[in-house]
Amino acid sequence: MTAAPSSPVSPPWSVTAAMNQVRTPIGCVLMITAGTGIFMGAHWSPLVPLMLAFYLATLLAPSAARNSLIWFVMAAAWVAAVMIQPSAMEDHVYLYLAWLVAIAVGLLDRDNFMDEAGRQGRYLLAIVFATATIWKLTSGSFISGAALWTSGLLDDRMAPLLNLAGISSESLADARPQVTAVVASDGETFYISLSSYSSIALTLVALGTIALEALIAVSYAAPDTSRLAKLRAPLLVGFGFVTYAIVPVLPFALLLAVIGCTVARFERRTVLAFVAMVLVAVVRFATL
Amino acid sequence: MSAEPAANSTADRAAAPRLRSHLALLRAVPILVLLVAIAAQATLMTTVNADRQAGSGFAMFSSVDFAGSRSVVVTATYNDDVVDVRLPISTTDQVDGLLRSPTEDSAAQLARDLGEFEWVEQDGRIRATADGTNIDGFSVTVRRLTADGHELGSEVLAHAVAP
Repeated sequence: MTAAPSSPVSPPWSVTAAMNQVRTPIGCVLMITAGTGIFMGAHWSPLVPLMLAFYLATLLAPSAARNSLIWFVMAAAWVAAVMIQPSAMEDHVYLYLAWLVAIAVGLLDRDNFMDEAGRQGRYLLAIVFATATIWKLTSGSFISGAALWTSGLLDDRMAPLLNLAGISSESLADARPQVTAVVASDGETFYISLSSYSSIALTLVALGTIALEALIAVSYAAPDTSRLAKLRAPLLVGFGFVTYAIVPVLPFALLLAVIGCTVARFERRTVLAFVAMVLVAVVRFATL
Repeated sequence: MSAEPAANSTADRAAAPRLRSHLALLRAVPILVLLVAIAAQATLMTTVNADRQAGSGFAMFSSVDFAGSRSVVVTATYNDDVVDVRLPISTTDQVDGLLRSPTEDSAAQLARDLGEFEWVEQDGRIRATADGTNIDGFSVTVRRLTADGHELGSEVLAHAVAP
């Protein structure tokens, strides 16, 4: 339904006008962010209908969705969710909450929205990946590979990674009751017996993960004019490929993609790379 | 991408410089939100052993210790023997809470609550039943995995015995 060419007054709403607004970079950021909220709602189902309605609003009433107040209200809804159901929330929910606030702040000055949202996205990603790096460096059991082995023991999604490192699913199944006995009693121990190849492979995966996450943090913290800034999207997409091909956390993949695209100002090749990253998560999720 | 449609109104443009000065303060809010969330979770992780893989710590897969690798061990004295306790389904949420954020108080609460059930022995363990006997002295222990290189062990995070 579009306005007739001869119509003297533009209609208050039309599909064409709405789609034109959605197809702008701002429209994409708002629509994808709202859509990501539907998946985030898996952590607390009452938010699903709210986020669905919000997503439809960004599609059907894109002008209204550019009101900063609405985004502050959505952020407040997520604050309420993490207060009511803290045990159901995971780290990407908190990043989403901060991103909602970043969009709300950005929309206060719509002329410069992409600059502001891009800057906020840079800082948020730098903080998140710096924090992840610090925990891995200080945990004491990550670099040795023990943390990855234990995660694989208790989380079947990690099996492909451990299989690549030469650790069979059968050996993990055999070890499971023994590790359960260790954590249920005093004085029991269990030695993770690995071949030289597996031991080196797990250590390399651990060191590679730390290096990748640290580089992402540094590249997003670096100024836009820095050479490191050119590595931002390739590093983040690379992280997404290797991570979500193993553990497909779809809301997190979508969130990293929309923030990554915003930082890159929706440059075409970067958008395509992030779309591929999300597809990897979707395919892995569908084939689990 | 198509070009940005319809610019803001003249009134909006006139208000922009004033708005931008306020924005300088607001710009810090999203970062503060994230930093506060991370600091809160980090504090809980280091002080009350909160689960690394929940909350806002961004510490997924970083350690052998997380809620899924912990255990809640419950025993009781039944006919003068120490026996393992098969926990009633109704205590699932309490046990999950203990695994995520173990404290002496929450362990003591579970130990007290178990005293409200009636119990019967089965296969060397006791299980709750409608027509069993009341017993006291439940012991609740939450343990976590530790790692020394490739050697896994465990240690107590919280322990309580109901009087």
